[in-house]
Amino acid sequence: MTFPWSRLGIEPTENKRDIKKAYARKLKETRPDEHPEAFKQLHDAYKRALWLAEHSRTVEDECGWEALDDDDDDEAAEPAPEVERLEVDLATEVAPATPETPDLENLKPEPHAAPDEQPTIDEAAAATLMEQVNALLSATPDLHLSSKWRFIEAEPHMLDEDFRKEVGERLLARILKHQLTQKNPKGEYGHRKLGDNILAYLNTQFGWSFRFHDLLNRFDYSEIAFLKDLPAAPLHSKADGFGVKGGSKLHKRKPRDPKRPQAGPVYPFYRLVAMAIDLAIVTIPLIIFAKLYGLEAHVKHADIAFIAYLAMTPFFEASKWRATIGKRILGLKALTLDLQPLNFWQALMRSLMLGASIWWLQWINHLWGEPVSDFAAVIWPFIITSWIAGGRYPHDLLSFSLVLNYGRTR
Amino acid sequence: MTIIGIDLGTTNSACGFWRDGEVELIPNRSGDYLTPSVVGLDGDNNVIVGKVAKNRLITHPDNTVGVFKRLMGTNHQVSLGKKRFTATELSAFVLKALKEDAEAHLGEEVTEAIISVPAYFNDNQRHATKQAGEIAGLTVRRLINEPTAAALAYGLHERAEGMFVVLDMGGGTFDVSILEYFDGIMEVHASAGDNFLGGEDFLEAMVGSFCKAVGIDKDTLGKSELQQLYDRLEHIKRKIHTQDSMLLEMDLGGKAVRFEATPEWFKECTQPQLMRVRHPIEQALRDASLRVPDVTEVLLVGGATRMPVFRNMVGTLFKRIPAGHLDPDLVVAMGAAVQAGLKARDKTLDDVVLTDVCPYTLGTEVVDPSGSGKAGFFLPLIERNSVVPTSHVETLATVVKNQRRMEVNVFQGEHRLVEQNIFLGSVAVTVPKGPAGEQTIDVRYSYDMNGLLEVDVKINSTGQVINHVIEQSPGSLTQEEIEKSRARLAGLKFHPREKEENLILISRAEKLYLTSLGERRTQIGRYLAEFESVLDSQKESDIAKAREQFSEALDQLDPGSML
Repeated sequence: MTFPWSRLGIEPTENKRDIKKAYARKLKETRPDEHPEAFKQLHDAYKRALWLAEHSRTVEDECGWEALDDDDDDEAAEPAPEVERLEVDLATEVAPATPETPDLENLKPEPHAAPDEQPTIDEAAAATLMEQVNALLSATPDLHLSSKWRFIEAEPHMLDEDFRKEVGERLLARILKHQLTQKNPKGEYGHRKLGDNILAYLNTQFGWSFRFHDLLNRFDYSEIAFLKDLPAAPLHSKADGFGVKGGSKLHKRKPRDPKRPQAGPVYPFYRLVAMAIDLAIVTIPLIIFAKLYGLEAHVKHADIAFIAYLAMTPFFEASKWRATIGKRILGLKALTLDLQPLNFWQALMRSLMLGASIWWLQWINHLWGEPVSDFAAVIWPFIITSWIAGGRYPHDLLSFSLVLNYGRTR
Repeated sequence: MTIIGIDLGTTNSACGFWRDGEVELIPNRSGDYLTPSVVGLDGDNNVIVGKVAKNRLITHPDNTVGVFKRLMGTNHQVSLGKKRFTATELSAFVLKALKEDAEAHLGEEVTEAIISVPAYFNDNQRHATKQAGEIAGLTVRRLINEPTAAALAYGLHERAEGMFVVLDMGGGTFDVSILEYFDGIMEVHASAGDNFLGGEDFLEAMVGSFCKAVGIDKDTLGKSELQQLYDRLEHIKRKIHTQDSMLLEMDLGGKAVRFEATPEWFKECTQPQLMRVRHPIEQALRDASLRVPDVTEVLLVGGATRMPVFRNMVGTLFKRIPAGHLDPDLVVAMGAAVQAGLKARDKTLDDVVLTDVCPYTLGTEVVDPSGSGKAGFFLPLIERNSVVPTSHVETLATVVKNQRRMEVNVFQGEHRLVEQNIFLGSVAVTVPKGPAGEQTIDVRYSYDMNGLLEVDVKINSTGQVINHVIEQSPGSLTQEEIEKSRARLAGLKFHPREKEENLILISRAEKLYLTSLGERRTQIGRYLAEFESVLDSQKESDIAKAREQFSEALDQLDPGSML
């Protein structure tokens, strides 16, 4: 015996009842929560066996699959293969016993409504509805507002299935015509072309995309192919404060925007600005303090400000901000290599390494007879390192940390 | 150790457990099976849950909140007085109340539970529900989809085989599931739904239409007035189909309002909501490749399915009368209790196995596969309605030279562009440098029986594996935050159980006092004052006697509102 029959433990059969029985028996030994892998195999075998039984192919036959692929050539033209494959698989289950004939008539989901049988609907109501639609289609900008289309869901006849189906087709024809008139010879669309939001709304009301194969009786594939690409239905009630009752206040917090990158690299220049802001913040009180007490002559402001900066940094970087004030303003954050928050000792390490690298660079600078300015001596190695190391400074490398941009830029 | 099954609903919750081959529902402290999912704080910061809180929604709207399930999986917060709570924390209060009821009923500690969630709940919402359980001190052994639970209860009850369509419309959500039951196997074929369609939306439509009809701006109404209006219209919603018309008279915004509600009015103003029912049904039928004549039975679950307009609509769609042998309000809790028995491997359930599906497609963001170089395309990894548990691996490569960071953005939805889908979270990895396309990562999505997603990323060149994580998930809490919430909520005490009956009476009388006028109002005030003075005396026998009299008096004054 071969797969799937071996897995189900039965002889190849066309009897679905037997397949189900075998599956049920095996499933009780292979519960999905206890043996997930084995369950998946068993389930695959079950589905495959059912398919084979349905198509009278109790022996594995490759051409069966190929024939099915040909069968759905209209769908093969679609650009999104992943989604389409699912639909092909589903189609195999409803497909009639002769899948070789690419006959779309047989794929119709609702057999009870024969195409030639004209359902009796309230023509007056349908005419009124179409008139309203016609009026709306010539009214700019109203035709782009989904609220203006809401009269459709308030039409009592819409609860009648036949009415909805028939008027839905008429409306679709009307809309396709409208869209065509908006197309100029160059293939560009005018300002009255209906957008996806309106089409999606109408689709939820009339269920066009669910009746796709039905619609092919009346429309050309290329005309209605757009139905497959419509966005999900707009959820109107989401806007109304969610319908929460009571409470003194609802505090809405924005979810993180997925389109905005969570973090990006930092340009070397950015971090210098952040540091300048920090240094200014520590220097200004220092100057005022020195002025007040007349200590100006004794103190080198730059050194003390820098030491104060180094001392302050770990507290800030290990805090909830993950950043000094300057970094915070620019939206930067200091993190470990795994993008985890720094603890205090890691933050202290960063600050010590910054002090050490600057002190060392200055020392090298003074080995020369005539040193360049301290600032230039320090700044160039920092910029070069960050160029090579993808935005990281020497002390980032030495302390195994990094700084990322969580701000609005980029 | 007993595992309890909980139905954590938008408007009502219930719980039960499996004992001796059948479901046993657990009554709450006021003796009912249904506990309104309403949470409030009183003046001493005691937590009030259930019926009392529901009454206080009218008398103390600032300190009471309902319908918060709608906020699950978001970061939004609701203020009760000065304290702020997330929906997860509020749900934890309800779960804690149910847990205490179960402990009182069983006489032992309860630490494990099965909680039901709408089938169409997304990953964030499921995580939030699980975390609410953890905050309440319950280990959540399984999240079960509500329609699946309902079908489980029904299937075991009727032992009927065939294809079932379960329509579950509760207070806030609408789910459709298609199941097959044979030889003890309950197999879900497809699920679809709408997370913002339920009884509350029908009520909201009624309120909107009412305000328009009587010329009142809803936003100018006081909170208490608004809650009264909701309460009155809810009553009408339940009763309207049995009568030709119902009169609504009340004072709103300083003027006396008179409105005659008719079944036609109800039908007209709720039609847009009713129309939205069809879409998920059609989707589920299509996904399961099921034709209407092949349906064995249509099951209705959830309080909102009691509405005759809903039943009519379903009747015409399926061309049959839907079944409702079990109480639609309790059947989900019963199913959760069956699942609890299954989880405990109860001997009486040995021949029952349940298989479920993932109701939506899960995938990741990739650069256009056809080569335009644009980002933002959706690559599905787990297809909608594949049977769970399932997992799928896809190999992704770098797109530019020397790319260091690869970001795996996790999305849920059916559209080929990610911006139309729901963002669930992201995992970022750092890969070694190399030419474009040389560095690859294996992204594995694993979807478990709870409907929770796990994403593993393996960097192929280094063999490094980064797992668990959806770190950036919008509504999810870290373990640290769960602990914090738990500690915070532990500081708030529940009302002692033995005082519950008195509280129910007082809250009911207060509500009546507020909604009545004239002589009736004075009388209620007098009763209330008398009862409170007896309570102050603290003599048990007197209190019991006064309680009985008080209750009778209230029943006479307000016969209709015993829900």
